[in-house]
This record gives sequence, structure tokens and C-alpha cells, in this order.
Amino acid sequence: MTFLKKHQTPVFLFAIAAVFATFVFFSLPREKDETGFLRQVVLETASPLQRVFTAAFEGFRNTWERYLFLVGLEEENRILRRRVSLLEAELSRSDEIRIENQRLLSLLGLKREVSFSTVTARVISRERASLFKSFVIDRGSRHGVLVGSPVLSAEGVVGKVTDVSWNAAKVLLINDFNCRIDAYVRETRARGILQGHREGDCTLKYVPRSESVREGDTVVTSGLAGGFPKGMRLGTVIQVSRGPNELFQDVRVRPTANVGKVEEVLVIVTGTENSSEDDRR
Amino acid sequence: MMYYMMLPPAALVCVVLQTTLADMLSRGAVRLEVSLVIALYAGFHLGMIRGAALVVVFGFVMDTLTGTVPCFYTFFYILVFLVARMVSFKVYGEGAIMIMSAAFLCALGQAVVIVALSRWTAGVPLSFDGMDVTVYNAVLLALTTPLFFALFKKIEVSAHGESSR
Repeated sequence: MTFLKKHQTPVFLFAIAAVFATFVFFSLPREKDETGFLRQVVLETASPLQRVFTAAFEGFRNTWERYLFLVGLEEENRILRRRVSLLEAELSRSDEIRIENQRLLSLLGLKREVSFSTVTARVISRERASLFKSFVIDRGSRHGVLVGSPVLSAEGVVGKVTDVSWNAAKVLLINDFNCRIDAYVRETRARGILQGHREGDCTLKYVPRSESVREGDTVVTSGLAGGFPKGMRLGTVIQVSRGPNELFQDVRVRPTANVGKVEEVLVIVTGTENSSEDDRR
Repeated sequence: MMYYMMLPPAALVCVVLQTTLADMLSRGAVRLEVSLVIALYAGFHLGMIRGAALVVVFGFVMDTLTGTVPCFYTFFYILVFLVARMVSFKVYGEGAIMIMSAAFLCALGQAVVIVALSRWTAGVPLSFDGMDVTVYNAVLLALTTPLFFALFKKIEVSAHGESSR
């Protein structure tokens, strides 16, 4: 004990280093494109919680918005308003189901276009105000999802999977600064690397000055690297600027997919039958 | 021992709650990083080993569930913990203004580190566009920090009472 008291700081630093090293060791993947065991456990344990909390908060918010604000009105109006509210809630639910159906139909349409095996997944947790852009989906390695699997919505590419547990996966969104995708401009075939930008847009980097790129052009995946199929829509060029002494031009791209609001996504999986996981849901 | 066993589930629930609750209630406009306040509290109030274990576990869970830069939150929380611990030897860390300033600086510091990281590791042009949201969130976190500190203190006292019974 005297030794501990005497050498408090070095012992403390050593303990921190040891604990940290243990965490890093167990969270490191054994092979490339694999999520470390501890990370898988955390992701797996968190996904039911995320599902429950998301469902509970959605339910609470819907109730609050459609029902609870009626409390306090006069008795005579209350019954009528409650009926109206219930009917509105019913209508709203029907609308929600209709919109969800439309979304799923458009996903299905995309699914028919895509000739790869895909899995439909639901977003169960996200933090839109964070500087890191990612979300968690409710499908994992049991459903064929792998690290690096491309994630799409009906509008275009959403991102790629970075961590997978058995029943959940973390998706790195295309507007995160760590996400880089080999891409080209559909109209002029000018190639570059699409990288996320903090404000929600992306930049198409390394496009030579000599290449012609215009606002409104469509940026698609090149299919050359990263497991993305060729020709998937990434975004639309919103701004092009060329510095006087620069080798490359600065091409700002707005993602086609609304990555902040997407609720269901398609994950391209490999090595599974095209029988589709969704049909079994 | 109970404390160390309770840490992982507590961290998991706290991180899941902080990510889902704030995002859903504010429709993505607000981010309340309670885990950062916990790291600060650990620096000011907890012992070395207990505090270090706490920040490492919270950092690891944050990295796994929301981070996109490997080990970022773990490193940052350890840093906050160490700095808060050093400061707590010199300054009285109970005052509301002190706690609020520390939380504001930590939240802002975290954003600056991420911007710097995006510049130096990913080559993203250095810009502070869109940082107003980060500043609002830092102010919000600073304003709520004394409440969280009071809550943590209550939890600590009741947990200590339970264990000593």
C-alpha cells in the first residue's frame, strides 16, 4: 500500500495504459475486414436497446403530438376533439403506412434493378448532430452483411458498413470525412475520389483541371474499388471551382440520398442466395 | 467489484439513451454528450483507477456505436479525465461556473480536434462552416452539466451507501 501511495502517478498511468491496451487488443480485428470481438459484443448488446428506445420514443412522440395536447380543453369539446384526434391519428398512421409502403416499393424497384443479393435493413440508431456521420442498422453477419458492404437507398448510395455484429451493423455515411469512394462524373467520365465534408456535402477530389465538370452533373460509383457496383448514383455536382495555380479542381457534390432522414436501406451482400432476407421477415 | 461489473451495462444504456433520446426529441438538431460530462465528473470526483476504468469503458462504447475514427472517444475521454484531475488539485471544482466552463471548453475542444483530424488525416479543407450547431450544443451541454453533476453525486452517494451497508 505504501508503494502504491508513493508511486501513485506512474502506477495510475500504467494502469490506464494496461486497460487501454487490453481494450485495443480485444477490439482489433483478427483479419482485415472483420470487426473485433469486443466491438461485436457491444454492437450486438446495444441493438435491442436501440430498437426498444427508438420504438418507445417514436410512440411517445406520436402520442404527445397527436393526443396529449388535448388535455385541458373544455369538457364539451374534449370528447369531440378526442374523436377527431383518434381519427387523425388513425389517418396519420394510415399515411405513415402508405408512405412506408411507397418507400419500400421504391426500394423494391431498386432491388429489381440491382442484380446483387440484397438485404433490407431498418435504421435503429443515429446521431445527426454529431460531427461523425454514422448510423446503426438492424441487420448483421447472420443476414450476410459484411464489413465494407455497400448501403443504398432508393435515391442512391448511403454509405458502407464499417462494423458488423451478428444482428446489427454500423454504417459509415458518404458525408463523413472518413468515407472515400472511387467515382466518376456520368456525363464527362471525369474520375475522382468522393469524400465526405463536415457540412453534409461531399467533395470529388483529384479531378484534373482539364476535365470538364458542370453544375448539375451526376456523380456515380466507378465500380473499381471498395465493393461498390458500377454506376450507382452518389450525388449531383453543386459547385465547381478552379484555382489559378491548382492541379485539380474543387468539385462540391450533394448526395442524392437524404442520408439524415433515410429509415430503411438496402445492403448489398455477397455469398447469399437471391431468395432475399426480406421475404422471410 | 460491483462498480466495475456495473460499468459496461451502465455505459451501454447511457450511450444508447444519449444518442437516441436527444436525436429523436430534437429531430437531429441537438446532441447532448452526457458521456463527456461523465469523463469530466470522473476527473473531478473519482479516484484514479475507478475514474480511468469509467472513461475507458465509456469511450470504447462511444467509439463502437457512433465514432468513425478508431479509438477517438477513448483517447479524448482519457485526456479530459487527466486534465480535469490535474485541474482539480489546483482549483475548487465544485462551483457551477467552473463546471460549466470546463464542459463548454471540452465540447468545443472535441469539435476542434475532429476538425483538425479531418484536415490532417483525411485532407478535408480546414473550415469552420456548420460549427454553429456545435457551439449551440456545447452551450447546452455546459448549461446542463451542473444538473448532471448533482445527479451523478446522488448516484455515487446512494451506491456508496448500498455498498457500505
